[in-house]
Amino acid sequence: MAQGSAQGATSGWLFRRTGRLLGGISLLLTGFAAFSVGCGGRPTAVDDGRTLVVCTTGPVGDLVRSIAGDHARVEVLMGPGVDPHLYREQPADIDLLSRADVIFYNGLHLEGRMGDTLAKLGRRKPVHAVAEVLERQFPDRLLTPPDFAGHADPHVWHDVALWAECVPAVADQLAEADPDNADAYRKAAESYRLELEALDRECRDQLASVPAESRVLVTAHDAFAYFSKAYGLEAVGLKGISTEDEVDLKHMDEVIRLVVDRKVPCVFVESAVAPQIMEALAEPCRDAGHDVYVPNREEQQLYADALGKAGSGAESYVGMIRANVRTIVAGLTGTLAEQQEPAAP
Amino acid sequence: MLASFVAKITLGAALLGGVAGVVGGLAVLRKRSLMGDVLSHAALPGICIAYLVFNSRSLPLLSLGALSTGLLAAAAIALVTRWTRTREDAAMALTLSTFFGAGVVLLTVVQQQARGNQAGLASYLFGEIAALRSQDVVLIGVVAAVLLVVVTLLHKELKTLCFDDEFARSQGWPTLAMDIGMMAAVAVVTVVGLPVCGVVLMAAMLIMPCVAARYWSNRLGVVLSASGVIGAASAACGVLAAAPGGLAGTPLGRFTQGMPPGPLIVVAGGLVFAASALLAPEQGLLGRARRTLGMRVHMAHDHLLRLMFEAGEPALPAREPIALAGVLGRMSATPVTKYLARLRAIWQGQIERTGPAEYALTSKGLAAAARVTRAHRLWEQFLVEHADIAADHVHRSADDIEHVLPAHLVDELERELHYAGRLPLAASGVAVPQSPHVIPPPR
Repeated sequence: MAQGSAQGATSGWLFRRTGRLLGGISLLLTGFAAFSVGCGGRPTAVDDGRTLVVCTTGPVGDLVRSIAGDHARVEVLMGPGVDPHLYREQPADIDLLSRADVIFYNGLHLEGRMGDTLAKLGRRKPVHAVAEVLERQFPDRLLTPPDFAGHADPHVWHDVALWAECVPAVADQLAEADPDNADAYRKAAESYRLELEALDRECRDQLASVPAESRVLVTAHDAFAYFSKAYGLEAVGLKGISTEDEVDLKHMDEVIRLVVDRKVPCVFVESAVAPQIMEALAEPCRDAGHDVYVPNREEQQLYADALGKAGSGAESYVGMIRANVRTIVAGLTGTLAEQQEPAAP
Repeated sequence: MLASFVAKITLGAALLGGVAGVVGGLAVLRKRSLMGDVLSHAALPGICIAYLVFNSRSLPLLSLGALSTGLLAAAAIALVTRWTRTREDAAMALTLSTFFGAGVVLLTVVQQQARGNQAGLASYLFGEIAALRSQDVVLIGVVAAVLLVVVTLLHKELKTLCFDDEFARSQGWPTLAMDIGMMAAVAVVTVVGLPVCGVVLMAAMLIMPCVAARYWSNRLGVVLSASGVIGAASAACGVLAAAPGGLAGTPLGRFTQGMPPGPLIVVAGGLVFAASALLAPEQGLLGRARRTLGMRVHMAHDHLLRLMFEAGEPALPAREPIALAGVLGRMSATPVTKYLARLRAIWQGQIERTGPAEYALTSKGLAAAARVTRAHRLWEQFLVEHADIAADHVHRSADDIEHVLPAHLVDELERELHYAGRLPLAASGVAVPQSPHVIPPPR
C-alpha cells in the first residue's frame, strides 16, 4: 500500500481524499454505534436508602426480585440475550458491584469470566451462589456431564422443581443482609415457592402431550439437560456446556443420524447462539430425506441462558419457562412450523 | 464412508483455502504478507459496527462493514507511513492491534446489547466451520471463481507489479489502484473466510500456502497455482482429519477426530510448509545442505589429490607412498570433509593404502592429480602474468578458482603459455607446469 519512494502527486491527492472519506465514514459509523449503545445501556442507579441487591443473570434476578418485592432494590447485570458464559463485567458493573449490599450469582461456573471478581468481592461483602444450596443438599440431583471436567452443569434453573429448592436459602441470605424486612422476605419466598411448584406441574402436563418417539430436544449447546431430565426428554446439544466450544464434526454426525433415525420434527434455536449452526445441521437431515423444521423467528427461539426482552412475555422467570415449554411442545408435535402469529403471552 | 455434510464442509473449506492461497500469495509476493493479517483483524470492528447499525446478521451487510474497516486500516497504514516517521512494519503492527482492540471492545458492547437476540459474532474470532450451509459454500465458490478469473486475466500485469513496480509505474500503470484492488481482493476473501476459520487462522491461510509454494518454483504462474493447491489441500485435510469417516481407522485419525477443524487446517498447512522448506529440490534446506557439502567435499578431494601430487613430485614418475597426516594437516577443511574426501578418492580408485597411515596415488589417481595441479598452476601463472599479483599471493586465489575452471579455459591458458614459449614443463615428464611459487614441504 505505502510506497517508500515518492509517488505521483495524483496518488497523493487520491490518498488524502480517500483518507478523509474513509475517516468520515468511520466517524459516522462509530457515532451510530455509540448512539445505539447509548440506547441500550442500563439506567444508572440512584441510592434510595433501600438495601441494594445486585444479581448476575436474569433468572437469578427474577428469583431475588420475587422475594424482595419493594423492600430492596434489585439490579441485574446481564440483560436479555446476554450470554453469561462469555460475559465480562464492565466498569459500570464494577461500580454497581462495589456499592452492592449483597450479591447473588448463579454459580456452578455459569459466569465463567466473572469468577475472580466475585471471589474478590466475596471477601468484603456477602456474595452468594444461588445453586450452592443444591450442591450441599441435593448433590445427587446435579448433573455432571463427562465433557465438563467433573464440574456440575450450571443450567439448574431449567428444572423448575430444583430451582424452587433454592428459594428458601435466598430468602435467608436476604434476611441476613437486611434483618428489618426478614419476615416479609420469608413470607414472599414461601408463596413464590408454591408458585414455582405449580409451574412445575403445569410443565409436566404440557409436555405430556409430546409423543414418546419424538421426545428429543436438539439445541445448539447443552443448556437443557436439567429440563430434559425433569420432564422426560432426551437432551442433545451440538456444542458443549459452554457456548464458547467449537462444534465437533464427529458429534455433529451423531446428532444428524439421531435426528434422521428418530424423525425428530424440529431442532431448536437459542436466543444466544447464531441460528446458522442449526440450519447447517438441518440441511444434511433434509438431504437424507427427513424434513426437519428450524425456527426462524425470534419468538420461536428458546431462552437458554437469559430471559426475554421486555414485552416478549418471557421477561420473567415464570414467563420464560412457559415460553420455552410452549415452543418445545409445538416444535415436537410438529405444529411450530404452522404458527404464523406469536402466541399471546 | 463420508457423511454428506462432511463432504460439503470439506468442499467449502477447500475452495476457501484455494482462493486464499492464490490471493494471499499475491500479497506475499508483493511483500505485503502482513496485509492479510491486518485485514482479518481489522474486519472485526467492521463486523460489529455493521451489526450494531443494521441490527442484522446478514452476511452482505457484515461483509460491507468488514470491508470498509479493512480498507480503512490499509489506508491508515499508508497514511501513517507517508506522513509520519513511522516505518511500515511498525505502522502495520500499530494499526492491526488498534483495530483488533476496537473490535474486541465493540464485541463486548454487542454482548451487552439488550436485544434478546445475541449476535453469535464471537464465532468470527475463532470461526465455526460446522455452520457452513450449502448457500455459504456456493458463495465461497462464486467468490473463488471470480477472483481466480481476474487473477488469470491480469497475470502479466500482476507479475510486473509484484516484481518490478518501478517499471510498472514508468509504463504509466495505475499501480496504486492495482494495489488497492489487490487489498480489496484479500479483504473479500477474509470476510468470506472469517465465519469459517476465524481471525487468526484466516491470516495463516492467506500467507502460509504461498510461502510453502515459493520453495518449489520461481515462476509466478506455477507458484500461484501451487499455492492454491496447497491451500485447498491443507484445508481439506484439516477438515477430514477432524471429521468422522475422514481418516478414521488410522491411528492419526483416531487422535485428531473430534478436534476443532480450524486449527487442524493450519497445522496441516504448517506441515506442508515444513516439508517444502526441507525437501524442495532446488531451495529446500536438505537439497541446499547436500549441495554445499558436495561442493566442499569436491574441493577437499581436489586439494587432497594436488597435495599428494606435490608431496610426491620430486620422485615422479615413481609413485611414492606418502604419509597422509602431513597432507591432511595442510588442508583447511573440517575433519569430516577431509574424511569424506579421502573416502571419495579411495572409492574412485585414485589412492591406495600402502602401509599404516601411508597412501600412494594409483595411475588413475596420478592422472587426476596432474589435471588438478595443472589447472591450479596455470591459473597461478595467469594471475602472475595478467593480474600483476605477486607470486607468493597467487596460491590462495588459485585455490578458489581451480575447482570450477572449465577444461577449455585450461587448454587455452596452456596454449598461450606454450606460444609464448613459457610453458616450463615439470621435470617429471608428467605434463604439469612448474609452480610459480615455492611449495612448502609437507609438515
